Amino acid sequence: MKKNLSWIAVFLIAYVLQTSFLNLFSFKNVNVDLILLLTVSYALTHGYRLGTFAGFCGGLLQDIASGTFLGFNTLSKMIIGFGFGLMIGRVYEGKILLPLVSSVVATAANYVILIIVVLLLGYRINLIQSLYNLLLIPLIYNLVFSYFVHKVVCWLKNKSFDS
Amino acid sequence: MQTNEPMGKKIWILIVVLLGIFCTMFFSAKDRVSIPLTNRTVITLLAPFQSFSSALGNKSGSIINALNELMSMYQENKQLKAEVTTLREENLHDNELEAENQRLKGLLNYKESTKQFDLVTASVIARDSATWINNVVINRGSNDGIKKDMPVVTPDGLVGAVIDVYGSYSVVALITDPRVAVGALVQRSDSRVAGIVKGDIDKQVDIHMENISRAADIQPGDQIITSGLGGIYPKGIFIGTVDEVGNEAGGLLKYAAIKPAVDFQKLEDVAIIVNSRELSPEVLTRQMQKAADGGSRETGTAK
Repeated sequence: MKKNLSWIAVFLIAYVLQTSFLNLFSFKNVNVDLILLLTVSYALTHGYRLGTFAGFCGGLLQDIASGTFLGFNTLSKMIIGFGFGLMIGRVYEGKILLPLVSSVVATAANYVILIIVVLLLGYRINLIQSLYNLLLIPLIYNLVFSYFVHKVVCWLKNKSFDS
Repeated sequence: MQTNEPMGKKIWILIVVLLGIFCTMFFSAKDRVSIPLTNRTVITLLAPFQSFSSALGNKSGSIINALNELMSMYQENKQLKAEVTTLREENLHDNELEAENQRLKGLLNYKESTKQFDLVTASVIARDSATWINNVVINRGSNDGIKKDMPVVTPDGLVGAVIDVYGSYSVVALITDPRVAVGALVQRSDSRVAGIVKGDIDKQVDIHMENISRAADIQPGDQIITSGLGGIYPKGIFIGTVDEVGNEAGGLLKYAAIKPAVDFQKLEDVAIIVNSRELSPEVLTRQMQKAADGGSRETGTAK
């Protein structure tokens, strides 16, 4: 129970940080997506079932708190949580490369899913501009933070709350 | 190692959920779906934390900005200091050039006004630190046609004579040196008293004129020029002004303390008289006329 509450707290803190404190380091109003990184690391360490659930919850939190279309982030994070959750048992979570590579793949996947959704919703977008603003910049931010987020996830996963 | 449990029919649940979300999203985009109170509740719950975190961020931002400003100010300060140093150096160089220009102009004017002399200009490159007011080294030597005993002058007046000559430099004994004796006379037309100008060995004055008879007409303010006697110094080069007249120890002769025309402490550029010609009678008459009219030492020679 304590562990579950800790995970909720971590996701909430991550969201609060990425929407307030980390705005200090934003570039062109683009910032790191800590919820995405948490979802990826959580899925990689807990499997597809919990990964999908974490993606669903994290995405829903973003959707509700940011006021965007309901399901916009929920969908993408859920798919990503599911996809990365399938990798459990095939990757070694202690490898330094794992969070770095997975953050790049997850950011690209998140971008593709969101672009498809936006196009399906009937919006027109400038693909070149969006590649720069919505893929390249987040990619760099996520790459920088991925290792630390993964470390936090691994630490919390292995932490025992038994008194 | 942890592994996934078999999916089984969970995959169908996932697909259904995804489809549900997809539909919700589309309806939400068309403003047909809204969850009352949810947004407000979540935002209300998160807002205080976000506010605190933002404040923390802003505080950190201010500190980072202040540090950035400090760093940029430091860089700017360094740059400005370097600029100031460069400008000072340039200014110093300019001033030096201007001073040199003035001195060389003076020498050039002197050269033009003293047609009877062939002059070679030179710069003082060294002074003997022990007896620096007596000897100087100049950057001209035998390669430039300089020979021993050639007189050295400035536009202000007589400096001394060359005593040693080397390939590209020479040593000049100044008239303040006690070993140097210059035949001199009072420029005033109704006096023309002759004597010998020498350096003062006890340095009470820079130079003095001796061998003056008691009855000689010499008084403070008189201008002393070379007499041309002795064969080293041509006639008519300005030496200095009589400062004081006194009796010598024996009582038979007088001496005159002379203030040199040349400031030996500021000696930088000089001219060596490599050849001097006798003035034509017309020029001599003109010069004497000027001297009688009170013509002063504009170019350092008697006019």
